[in-house]
Amino acid sequence: MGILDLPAPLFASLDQFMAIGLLATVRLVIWGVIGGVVTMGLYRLFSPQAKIGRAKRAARAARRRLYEFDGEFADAGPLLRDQFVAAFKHIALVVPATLLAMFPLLALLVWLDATYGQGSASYLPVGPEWARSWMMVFFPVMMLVSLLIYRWARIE
Amino acid sequence: MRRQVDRYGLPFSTVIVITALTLPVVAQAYVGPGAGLSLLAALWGLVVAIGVAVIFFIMWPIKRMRRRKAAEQAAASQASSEQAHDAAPSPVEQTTDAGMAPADESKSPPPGS
Repeated sequence: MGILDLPAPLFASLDQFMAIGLLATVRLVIWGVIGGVVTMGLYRLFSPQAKIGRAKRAARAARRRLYEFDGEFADAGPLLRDQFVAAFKHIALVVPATLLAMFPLLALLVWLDATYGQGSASYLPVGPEWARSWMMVFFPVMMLVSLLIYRWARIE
Repeated sequence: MRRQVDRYGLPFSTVIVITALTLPVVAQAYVGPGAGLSLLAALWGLVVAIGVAVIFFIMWPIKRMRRRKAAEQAAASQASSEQAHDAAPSPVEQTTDAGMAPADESKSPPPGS
């Protein structure tokens, strides 16, 4: 049992509760919504949004300054350094929150694959056999929800 | 060299073996689309920074050549305008050449007075 299997009992109990009145496909849609909301919520919570916004603008300004620079070559050194420092700072601000937001989703994916990915179960009424797996329900919903939240909450 | 191998060989190989044994057989990774977009935007910023730096290095000699050419053209046009200004006759010279006495000379007293 790995670290990603730790939340499995929680997922299983919630899924059993939903299974009382919902079909597997509908449950996968709900899991997709939960996955999208949780991953974006965690990213929004753990990422320094204001700092990321400032780093983004600083990187853009540094690039513009270098692009429009018309002085001596020796004077361009600080501008080159500034734009790389700004770019790396932006990455350094984004990566930790991305990794943190990734883990619950990874745990959910491991559990979903173990629960819904057994055998040749199909969760869509139409389409070829390979396109009826749980992934074809879960991922589009999760992506749509994540992108809507990304846009709606103006996440940097 | 031989002495260093004897000294560090065993600890080094032990560390490598332990690291290899503790590595997972299967690795799982997935980044959601939202956080993934932010990460991609940050990585894209680095790619663009590299691109701008490369463009700067490529464009530098061209920009410098253009600047030098523009400066040369400006200097040449300034020199030609100065030459034209020097070559153009003044109003005093124009009247003298036409055989008319300048105003000051006409007022000068006749010789012997």
